Amino acid sequence: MARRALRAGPPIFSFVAQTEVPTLAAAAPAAATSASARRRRRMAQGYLFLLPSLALLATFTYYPILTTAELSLYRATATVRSHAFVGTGNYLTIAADPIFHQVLRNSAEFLAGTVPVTVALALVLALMLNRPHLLVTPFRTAFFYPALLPLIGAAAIWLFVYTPGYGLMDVYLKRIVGGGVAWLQDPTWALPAVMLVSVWKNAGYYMLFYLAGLQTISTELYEAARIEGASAWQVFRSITFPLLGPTTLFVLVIASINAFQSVDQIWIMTAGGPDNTTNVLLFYIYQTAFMFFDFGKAAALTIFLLAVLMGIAALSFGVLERRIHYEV
Amino acid sequence: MTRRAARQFTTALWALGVGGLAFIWVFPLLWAIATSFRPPGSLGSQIASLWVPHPSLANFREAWGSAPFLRLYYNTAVVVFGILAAQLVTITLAAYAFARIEFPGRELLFRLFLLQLMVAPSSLILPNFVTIKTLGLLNTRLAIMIPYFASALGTFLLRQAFRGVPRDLEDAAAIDGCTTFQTLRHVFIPLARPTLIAFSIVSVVYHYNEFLWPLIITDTDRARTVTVGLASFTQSAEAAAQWNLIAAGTVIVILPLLVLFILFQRRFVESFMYSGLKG
Amino acid sequence: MKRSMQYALLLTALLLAALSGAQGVGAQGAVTIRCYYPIGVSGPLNAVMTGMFNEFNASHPGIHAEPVFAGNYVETMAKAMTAVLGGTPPDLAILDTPELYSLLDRDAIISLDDLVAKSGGKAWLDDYYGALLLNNRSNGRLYSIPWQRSTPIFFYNKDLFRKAGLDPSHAPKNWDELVQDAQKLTIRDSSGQVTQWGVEAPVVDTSPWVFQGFLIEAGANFFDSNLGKWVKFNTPEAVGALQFILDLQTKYKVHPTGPSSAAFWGQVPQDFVQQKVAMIYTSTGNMTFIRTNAKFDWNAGFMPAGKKYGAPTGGGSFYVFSHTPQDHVQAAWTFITWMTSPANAARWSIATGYVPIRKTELSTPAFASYLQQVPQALTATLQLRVAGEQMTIHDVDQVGTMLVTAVQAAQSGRLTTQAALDRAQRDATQLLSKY
Repeated sequence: MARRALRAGPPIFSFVAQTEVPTLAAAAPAAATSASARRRRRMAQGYLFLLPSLALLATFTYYPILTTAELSLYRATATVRSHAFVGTGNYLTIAADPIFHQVLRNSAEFLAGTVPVTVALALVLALMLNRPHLLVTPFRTAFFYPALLPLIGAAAIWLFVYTPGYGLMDVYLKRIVGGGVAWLQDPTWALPAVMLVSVWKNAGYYMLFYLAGLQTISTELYEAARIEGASAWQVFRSITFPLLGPTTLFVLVIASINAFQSVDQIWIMTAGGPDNTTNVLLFYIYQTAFMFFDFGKAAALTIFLLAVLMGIAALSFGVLERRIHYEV
Repeated sequence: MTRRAARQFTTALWALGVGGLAFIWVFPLLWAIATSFRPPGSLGSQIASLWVPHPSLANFREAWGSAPFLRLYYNTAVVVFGILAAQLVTITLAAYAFARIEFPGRELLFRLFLLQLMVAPSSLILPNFVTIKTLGLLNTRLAIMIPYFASALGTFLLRQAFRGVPRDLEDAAAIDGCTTFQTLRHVFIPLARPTLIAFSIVSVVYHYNEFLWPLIITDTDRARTVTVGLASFTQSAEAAAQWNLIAAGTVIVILPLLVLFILFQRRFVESFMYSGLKG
Repeated sequence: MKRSMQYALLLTALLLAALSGAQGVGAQGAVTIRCYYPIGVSGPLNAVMTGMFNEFNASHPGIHAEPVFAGNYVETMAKAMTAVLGGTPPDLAILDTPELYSLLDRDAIISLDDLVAKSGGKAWLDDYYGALLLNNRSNGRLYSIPWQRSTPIFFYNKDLFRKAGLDPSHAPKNWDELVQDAQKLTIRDSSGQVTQWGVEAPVVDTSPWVFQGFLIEAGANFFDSNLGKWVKFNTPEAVGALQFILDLQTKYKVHPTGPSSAAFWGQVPQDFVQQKVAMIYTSTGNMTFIRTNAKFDWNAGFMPAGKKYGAPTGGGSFYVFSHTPQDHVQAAWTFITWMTSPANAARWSIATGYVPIRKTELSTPAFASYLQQVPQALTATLQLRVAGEQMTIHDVDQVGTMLVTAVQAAQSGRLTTQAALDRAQRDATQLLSKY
């Protein structure tokens, strides 16, 4: 396919080609310096290519992170005018905060309960829907559409699903296993109920990345496996799954980050309750900043979350990237 | 059983199994669509049913009249495609640099990119508000877009797709005298098309549904997006939830996105059919 | 290479230029004031609000008031606070009334005493219901003017009263009557499953709103109404109020068990119109919903009394922001007085179901005919005479959340009533110690 593209593609950036060709021609006589010069030019190109992204990230991501880090060292609650430097004060406050401890436990539970399930489900769905069939598009749409729903709509729908008495969960589940649970008000069930929404919303989303990953696997490998008479499981074990390594790494990182950042459905469905049983880190940050206006503590919590996520990312890279095959 | 019959049987089994799960997945949406046609004042005991005895458009009329939706759709289209266009440029360049160019500090810079994924969006609101104000962009669509022009997610995803591009194809392009840009255009981008489409879908969806940042950075309907319009009649925290009105509003907002997704899906499937069947 | 890079950058720049259209400016020569407003009850209220702004602008050529929809109360406060900290505060905003100290602590708002004095002083202000002004003051100074105000009231299903052999014209007057009626109205099937609850009280949602009514009724003096510096959550009266709610759930078994929550708040009016419950506590803001959806005879009454009658007020008021030019303050005040004039206030009350904010509002022709259609709307107004003050203190949202979680902890059986309220008291005292 790429070869066809090469053949089909006349150089459309003709003026680019004109500038490039003389450069190459001029470089030929100076063969002695060319290798290192070319390497240096290549390096410069690398930085140049990163420049637009880096400039934007510096303005809208790194600078805010730095101001947040600075703010976390101040007591910025009572009045804006009297920011008082407290050093690690905010960090000590959150370390001693019992709600924060509960929030950490909830977040860990959320992470452990949603990420493996969602990612495995996404992979299964992608494998099931990676074939040409009339029904593939409607099926993919059915699994992906939750990611399309605006939060306000999705959360309202799920509030209804969980309403005792006439919600979908109660009405239809009661016929099978018996109902009567006020899912979102029960300290035991509230977090699993919110987690289920997260699985529902994200499985189709991650499926999309797996589908994209599956396209990059050459069909020749499957041909060869077929000729050798490998079973479907063997093909999955030794071809599909290893070659999806980069995608799995990507999806795991994204899913872990999302697990910490799912705040929207919590906001509408439980507001962190009952008794903080569904309060997770980002919700707690949102609450601290925009409801309690304790900006210093919110900043300290943000930096903590950032450190946790960086740790998770570093870990996934350390463990997974070494085992990943990139070249096909 | 003949092989043909066996294959038909597995396909039927597949359709049944995946279809059953798909039905569970889609049930809340079907319920929302059914409920959106339930006339106001009829939230009776059959509210969980998909059957609406006397369908009515009253909810849609009320929802549509609550905000200048045509204007908001237009703004949303400008915002999501503006962001996407800028992102496609920035992520292609950055992903290529990370995937194929050797330079000192590459790993460090890559990790630095990933910070964007990890920082909580709500903690960016205040500092970015100040930056946007300094730039004189308050109350513009550009203000909604500009913080997202660079995308760590896209760079990350595309870097992996680019790393999967065979070296010999790239070398062949170089021998043919292709410049870096031509190689990107004729080798890397076509091979990464499924990834680019997947990222485009994700980017459009994310920014289509964003709410708090547009709400805070803009004041007027001239710059605002559809989610802000939806919020203007569905956030009835003080009162009982009007399921039918919220459902109608959700349908109004999701419909263009659903159509767009199905169109993109076709491209997605086509790119699969091409590479998958013909290699 | 270099030029191709330039080409890419140029493309990006062009794209940016094309996308960023120049924004227009407000009306020529007029003072432009921006007003943030939230929408807290359902309905096409955005259109009503925008219509009122347009009418004001048409009749006041020197002023251009710009309506800025800002989400729900939390989002409107977040937007206002971001704008204040970013140095571009709005001129005025409708915010949840108890945010008084959150705004005052950041020097974000001005006192309205001087403006009130020029508009007629005490005589002018006395037309507003006194209960609605209780938490608009701090240390004797007035900081906001009531606008979209509500109060929790008691709704009951008269048909179900008749079926249970109760007098449908007689709502329970006190807690004892409530328990007696609720016991008669709770119906179980042969397997012991409840098919109809006696009463539902969403005592806490994201804030401890309805619970404050129970605290007032129990005679608890639970916060510093003058300076907002202390709370008393664990007095015998407060513990008694929480115990009464637990008794409804576990001793008399006339109320669903488990913690009250935001989800429960939304569920209660639904349960009422579906006749799954005979009596509920909810906001006056739900009266329109109940009126359109209830297929039975219903009525509204006061929240039943404990030691006395009582209910908190709720909802939003107009705040004027500091660090705005004097002519903007004047224009904002002109706007507020126009909006809260009896005829306009009546328009908003009728469209939304919020309580009337002024006494003269009741005698406007529009409101008089509304009362003929919906006589129950008067109940909330009458209850204002016995209403108490809504908790308005420093860090009100954080302290409120502490009380919410305490009530939930007791309702779920994780803590005893005394232990739960002790915890809230300890945490709140520690938090408020800095003021």
